Amino acid sequence: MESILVVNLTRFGDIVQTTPMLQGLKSVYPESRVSLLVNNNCEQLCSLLPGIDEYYTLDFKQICTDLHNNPAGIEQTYSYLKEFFGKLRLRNFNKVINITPHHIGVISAFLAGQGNRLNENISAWTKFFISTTRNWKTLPMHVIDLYSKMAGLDQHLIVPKLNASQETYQFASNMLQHQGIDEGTLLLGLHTGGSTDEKRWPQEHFIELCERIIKNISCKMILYGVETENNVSTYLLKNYPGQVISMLGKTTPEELTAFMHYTDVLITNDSGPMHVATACGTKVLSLHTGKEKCISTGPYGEGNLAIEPDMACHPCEFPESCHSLECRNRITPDSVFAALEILLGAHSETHTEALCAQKGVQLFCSGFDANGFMDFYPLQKKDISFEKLSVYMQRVLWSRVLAETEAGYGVPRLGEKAVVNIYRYIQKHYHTHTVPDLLRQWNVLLPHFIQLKRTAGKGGVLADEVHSAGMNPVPNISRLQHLTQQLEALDNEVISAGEMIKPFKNLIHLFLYEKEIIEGGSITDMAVQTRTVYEVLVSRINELEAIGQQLFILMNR
Amino acid sequence: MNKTVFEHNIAALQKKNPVLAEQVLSASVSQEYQVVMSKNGLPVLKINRISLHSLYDPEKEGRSFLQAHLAKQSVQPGDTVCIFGLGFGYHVRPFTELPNRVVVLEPRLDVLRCAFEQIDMAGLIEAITICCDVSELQRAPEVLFAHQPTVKVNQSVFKQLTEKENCSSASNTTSLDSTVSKKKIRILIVSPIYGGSLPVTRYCTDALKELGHEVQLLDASMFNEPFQKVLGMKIDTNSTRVLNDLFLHLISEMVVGTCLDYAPDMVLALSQAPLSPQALQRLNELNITTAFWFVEDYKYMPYWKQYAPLYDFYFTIQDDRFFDELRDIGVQNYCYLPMAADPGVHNETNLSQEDMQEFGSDISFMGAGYYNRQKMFHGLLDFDFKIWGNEWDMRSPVWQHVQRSGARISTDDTVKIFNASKININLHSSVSHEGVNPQGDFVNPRTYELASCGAFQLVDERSILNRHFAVGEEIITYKDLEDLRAKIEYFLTHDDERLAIAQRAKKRVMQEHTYKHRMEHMLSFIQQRKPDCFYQKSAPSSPVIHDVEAFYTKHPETTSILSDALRRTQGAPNIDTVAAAIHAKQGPIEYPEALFLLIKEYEQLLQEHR
Repeated sequence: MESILVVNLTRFGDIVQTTPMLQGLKSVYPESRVSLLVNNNCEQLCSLLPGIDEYYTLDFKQICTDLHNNPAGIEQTYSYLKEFFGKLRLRNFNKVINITPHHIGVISAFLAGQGNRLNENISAWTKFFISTTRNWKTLPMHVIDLYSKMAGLDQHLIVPKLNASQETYQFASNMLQHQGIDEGTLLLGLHTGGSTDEKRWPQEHFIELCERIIKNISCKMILYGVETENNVSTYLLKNYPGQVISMLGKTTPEELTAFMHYTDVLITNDSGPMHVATACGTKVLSLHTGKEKCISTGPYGEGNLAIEPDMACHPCEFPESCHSLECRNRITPDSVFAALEILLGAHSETHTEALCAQKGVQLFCSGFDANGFMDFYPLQKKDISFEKLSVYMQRVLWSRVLAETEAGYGVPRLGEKAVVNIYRYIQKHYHTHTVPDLLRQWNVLLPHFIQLKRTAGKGGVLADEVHSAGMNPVPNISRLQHLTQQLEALDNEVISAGEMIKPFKNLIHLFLYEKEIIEGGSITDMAVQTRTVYEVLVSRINELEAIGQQLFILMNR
Repeated sequence: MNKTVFEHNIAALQKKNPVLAEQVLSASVSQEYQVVMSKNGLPVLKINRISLHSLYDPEKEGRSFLQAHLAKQSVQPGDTVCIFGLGFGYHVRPFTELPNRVVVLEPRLDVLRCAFEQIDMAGLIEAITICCDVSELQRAPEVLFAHQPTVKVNQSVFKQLTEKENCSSASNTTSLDSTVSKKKIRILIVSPIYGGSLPVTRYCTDALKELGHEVQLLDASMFNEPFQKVLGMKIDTNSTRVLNDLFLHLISEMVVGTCLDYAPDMVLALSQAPLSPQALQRLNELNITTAFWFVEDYKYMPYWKQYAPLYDFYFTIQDDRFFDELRDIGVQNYCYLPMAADPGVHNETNLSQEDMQEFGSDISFMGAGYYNRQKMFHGLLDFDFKIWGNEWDMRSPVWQHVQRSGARISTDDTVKIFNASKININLHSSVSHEGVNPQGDFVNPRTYELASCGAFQLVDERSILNRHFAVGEEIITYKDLEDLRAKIEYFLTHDDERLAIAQRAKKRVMQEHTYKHRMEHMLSFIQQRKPDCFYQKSAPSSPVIHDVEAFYTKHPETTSILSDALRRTQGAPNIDTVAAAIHAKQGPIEYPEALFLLIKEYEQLLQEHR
């Protein structure tokens, strides 16, 4: 029997987003035993996750407390981790899948698994994930799709899911009935929180929106979140008693799941409860500000709406140094209210057009693209930008090149038809009269691709020279140092070239990450690994050029 | 480098500050610096990956910087505006349009050099004064604006600068840099288990939140019921004391545990809020500032002597002789902080007829039946007089006037009583006087609360009342029963005068005596005395392996790693040293090495959150 461990040392919302992958594993390996490793602050969520047989919790809080306050912190933490992973290793997992986008996950996966080298079992998709999460803005696909790829699953269209117990559903149902909410009542949920300031739409906007909803839509409202997010709640409960129920700070994850099940629409910032809603089949109207963008973490599934500010700087690369967070005010209560009416089907087509034409916001609808990736397409057809085009191209690119480098892993390479699929999908959702301009922008990139390949070629040659020098029984140290310096200089050239191919900068991010994790062995061993990294970069650029060529031929027809 | 631009800039600086110009000429630009282009084509400096300006539109961000700061802090004509950080000057240029002297403190000479190489700054140099050292500032600037990216890369210098400013403006805290004084502070408030100051903790919580701080209330009143049961047990005194101590330790541990998790900048406890000496010591080790607001009469609650020296800051509702006593026991950071009102709770209310029926009367008193009140109110029983509150003597004739059979009155009903009574009697409690305490030296919360409600009150004379209200105009006092009766009779027949006085008192409360004012004052005082306590807590240093030998005796697989680490450091190795030793060796990462690297990752995560 296969024994699989999924390492997910992230937060609440990220774990909910793992559920399609967990379901997929169980369906591909029905006889397998699927285990999950999470931080103990997410333990309550684990019993709700479908597709897992058992879970393990790492005492994250204790580790932090020991390292933060305990003079013997290293000793205690070492002993704890040694014992914890020692026990886990005894489980002899055949496969360990890390979907934690940082090295805590990578190392934990190594410690729990059977591998002999720290980085040898990191899947190509995981490397891609880690390298792009360091450059979040550039992620071209939804993390749920990425998680599936990282697990080696070729699956699409599986949406998140959480299971609460019948008793909890009954409890939620009884409580709502007690509040005068029955099946015929439109129940609108609201979640005003978010993990950082830049993600949180201002409270006064939420209040204004709620007042409009209460005055214009026959419904009841239910507020979710934690107790500290009580400004909106206090105001609404005081001014609209009977119409608003506050569940702030009152629900366990299971209860939240049950209440969300009875909620018709959730209006929310990009947050954990947003993912819970998608896992309960609740329609979502989500707001994505700061560095968040719906394409990466929006409400998964079909028919949800997402609003983003229409600003050149969104999604933000530097939220910590932005003084204004103006993006949060670009989205007005008016536009959110109009979007809600669209979602409820209470808006005429003319109004929808008017909303989509509004300056300051962009309205997207969720659905799956023609290759099965989650997508957020404009509600009304609009011109496609080169950045957006590059997203569709990259989905094909990475599905091909990462599958290729993943010998023996489950995700097959996307075929030739994938580009045709993109082309058709673009035609369906976008105007294509800007094709000449898009082609011009593509052509500007081509010489930079050539230059980049030349640089990578030089890197390969240098790596070979290092290898030869290293083979010498008495290595010439100064020669090796000189070669290493030359390689470092080349990497700077690669980084500079990355600035010239910005829409496809992920190529560089992944290249740099792959170089970073080359693991020490002999100098010759490292030289071989280095050469491979340069070669892979060249082959990826070739693939990208081929995709571009095919796509623009189709678009120019 | 654009030589012409650089020379042009240097020439401009030589005219204004030749010494600085020489220093810039001889400075070299650090390799950590990177000049990148913003999206709109302007050069931007990055230091250790921190971008000093917007990478989209630095000029627009510069204009926003001015507007954002002016919205927070007004600049008067004649004020010197000091900006901490020049960078490439995008945020400074808009300030030159103000009719004020602008001084820019750029702590890094090489930033100046880099800026001079990239941008023509000659005009800007002429319009402002540039200095590179805090000591060059002749005096503390009236207005200080901090360029946050510069602060990030120069935290210690910025601290020096704010210290300089605090020292010079001890009497005027409003001139503190808004970015410092308005820094969002994380505060844990500990309420008492029971007692009159319990609601005050809630008022403080709300006020601090309103000031924009992050506040968590640890409500110890949840233990009131078991605590009262223990008090009511007929057991010997020693056992009662032991049980009391257990409560104290239980709640103290809750506070410490909450602090470990919540990591507040400050813990604020109020009268009788239980914190054991051990807990206070622990908070001190955790580098958490502790403050206590003693809202009781020190003469009747002597327990303060035991605890006052253990807190970093001690706030009192009495001064003068109490301060002498605090000094005598070694307390240094004490401050007078009178009681106040919460206008969100204590406000004017339109009452229904039913409420007027129940709560209305010519005169009323709301409060507990202390000895002096029982005695004095004997003399008021011929009036339409309603008494509200508990602990009144059922055998006394006064009892006939006590409402609701002496039940405790909720805050909502208290506000209704204040609003419904024509005259509210306010008599500070005493257990030893027949009526007014002639030595009364603090003002009770009821004085402010009544005023905040726009309710008229007659209050007993207090020696310091005139510091808070204009006696005779905003508030009327009485010195004894005879005086009180005369004033009741007068004001019952002078409605307009009564209402006007009450309104003036209300205005004064709104201007000066809300809990928001008190909390602001409290934080300002703390910042003046300990300027870095909220700004930058000294981060706990990385943990180290104190006893390497014991470590590898227990974990023999670590022997070679720790031996390597020991060779790389003189003292006890920390996790960085161990990680460096692991990375320096050849060959794949082994299992115990991975355990250390995992600890290193966690440590790094913590550092980022510190």
